[in-house]
Amino acid sequence: MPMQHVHSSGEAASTSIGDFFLRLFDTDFTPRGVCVDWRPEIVWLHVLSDGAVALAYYSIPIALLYYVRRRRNQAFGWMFVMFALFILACGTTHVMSIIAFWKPLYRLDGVIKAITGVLSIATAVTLWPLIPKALAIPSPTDLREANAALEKAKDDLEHRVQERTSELSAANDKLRAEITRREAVEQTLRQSEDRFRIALASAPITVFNQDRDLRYTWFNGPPTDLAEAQMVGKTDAELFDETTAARLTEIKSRVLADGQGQHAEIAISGGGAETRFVEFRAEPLRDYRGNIVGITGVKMDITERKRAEQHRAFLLAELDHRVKNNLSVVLALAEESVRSSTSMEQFSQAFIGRVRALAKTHAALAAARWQGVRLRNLVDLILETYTIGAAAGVPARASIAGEAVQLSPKAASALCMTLNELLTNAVKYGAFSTPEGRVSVTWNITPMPAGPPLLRILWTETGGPLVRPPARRGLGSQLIEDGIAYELAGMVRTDYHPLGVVCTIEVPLNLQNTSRGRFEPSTSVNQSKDAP
Amino acid sequence: MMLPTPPTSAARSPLILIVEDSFMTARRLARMIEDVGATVLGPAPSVQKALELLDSQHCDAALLDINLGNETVQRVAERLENEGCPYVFVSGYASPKTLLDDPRFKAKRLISKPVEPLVLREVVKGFLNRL
Repeated sequence: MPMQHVHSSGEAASTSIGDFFLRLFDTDFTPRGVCVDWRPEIVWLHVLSDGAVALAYYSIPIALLYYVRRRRNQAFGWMFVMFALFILACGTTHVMSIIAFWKPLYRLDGVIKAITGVLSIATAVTLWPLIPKALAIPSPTDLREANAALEKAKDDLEHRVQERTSELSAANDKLRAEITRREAVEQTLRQSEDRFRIALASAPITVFNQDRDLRYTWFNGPPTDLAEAQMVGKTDAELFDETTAARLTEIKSRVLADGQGQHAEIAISGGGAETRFVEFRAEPLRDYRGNIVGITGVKMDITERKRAEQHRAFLLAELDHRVKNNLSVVLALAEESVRSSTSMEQFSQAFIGRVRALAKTHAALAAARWQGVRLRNLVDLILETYTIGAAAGVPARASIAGEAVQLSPKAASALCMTLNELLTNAVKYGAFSTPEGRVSVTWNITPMPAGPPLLRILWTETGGPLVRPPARRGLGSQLIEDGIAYELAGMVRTDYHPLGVVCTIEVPLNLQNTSRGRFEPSTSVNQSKDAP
Repeated sequence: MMLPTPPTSAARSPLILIVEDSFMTARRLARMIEDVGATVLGPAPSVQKALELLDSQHCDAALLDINLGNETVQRVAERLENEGCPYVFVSGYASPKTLLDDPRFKAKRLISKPVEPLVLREVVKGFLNRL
């Protein structure tokens, strides 16, 4: 602050305020230079010092204003403006001190000082309450630290986000792999199910489930089996007869009790259907915890197989029977032929011829699959040698004609034996012993008033040598006559007519002698005519 | 052979019924039985014929072929069983089901076809010992 000098010019001091401002620029006082006797060192010291202070005081507000203008959002910007004005005023008082060395403008100087004082007080007064608020504003260091902390927090966060992201991404990859795996499993399952469904649809197999009370819960079978709607909710006792249900329930209960699969062949009857044979398998049905909650059953209809097995067993037994019977007959023929023969030649002729006849019967029966033989085929076979010429233009020596009749294997065998003996006799002594002789075999069927129709076969020889009745009844005659009577309850009469033997064979066409008896249900006695 | 010998004394030859549907086999069996000193009743080719013979004549023993074409010898066996008459079965079947499954006939002896003369001789001897 510049030093003030008290002057002695007293009348000016007693003037009014108006007068004071009018004389604001009057220099009616002693300049300061006078007070220091214009000593240059004192004058320059003051002038330079005040100048320096003023210069500094003028520059500071500019800097402050510049700062406030540039930093628009500076808190308490108006405070900076007040500082700027206050400092500017202080600077001006120093300028006035310099001027006062030469021009003593003490009125103006005083006014400026007064303004400065007012500004100073105002600034000071407004400054104090501002301090706590200013202190609350974080300093740049605080901000830097806070910023650094924030920065670090941000880095941490980013790091954690990155970690989390990679974790999520790994989890995502895992999930995706799992989904892919499950899709593959699902596809395999679907394909597997398709395969089994197709297999099931084309097989005579029934698959079903039953719960612990053995009520059907699911049922899938071929169209020939019962429908699912008939089964679901029911038990075996409601569906099948007592025996079948008891057997099924026993097996299934065992599966439920010990968890072991069971396998059995069962005859199923009931429900109005014929008895069927099934191969039956039951396995325990488990939930995902392994508890047995019912059974899964599979049954396959093996009725056809069973019947085929039975038929095969029957055929085998039948074949065995026939072979042994035939061997028994061959043995008997051999023994009887030995007894009735006087020479080896006679024996071999008789025996071999008879075994041949058996072989022919067998051939005819086998050709007819043991289901009966047509008489026509049998006669053809026996007389084959004497009819074969017809094909080559040579007149046949045997003629055959008769109604269609189907003979049982037993009747065929007996007739074959008889016809063979007749042929042997014809070759040895009768029509076939000369080139001109002829044999005709004809037959017809006569309905009888009581009993089965009668088959009558006529063996007629013509054109042979003169016939003489045999001196004694040999084995051949016995075979011709007694065999038919014994085995077929028939009758054979041999008439030794001088012009040719006529043999009448009568066979009742009863169940035993026709093929109706055992194998063929309907077409045993054929009503159509055989071609002659 | 077809004519049965009337029972005249205790020393008579035993009368054995043959039921067999094959003519030649029946002849052979009859011959074998005659060869061991017994007399043949029959032979009968069917159940009906056999029962007719049994009505007219008491036999001491019987040889029964099981399968007689379209019937079995069962009714004859039942009749003999009732009369306490010894008999054996003869069959070409290795294991003839129907008849021998019957508990009444299970224990019966079965001679398989073709019948061996020595086997038949032993069987007939067995019959003779029981007379």
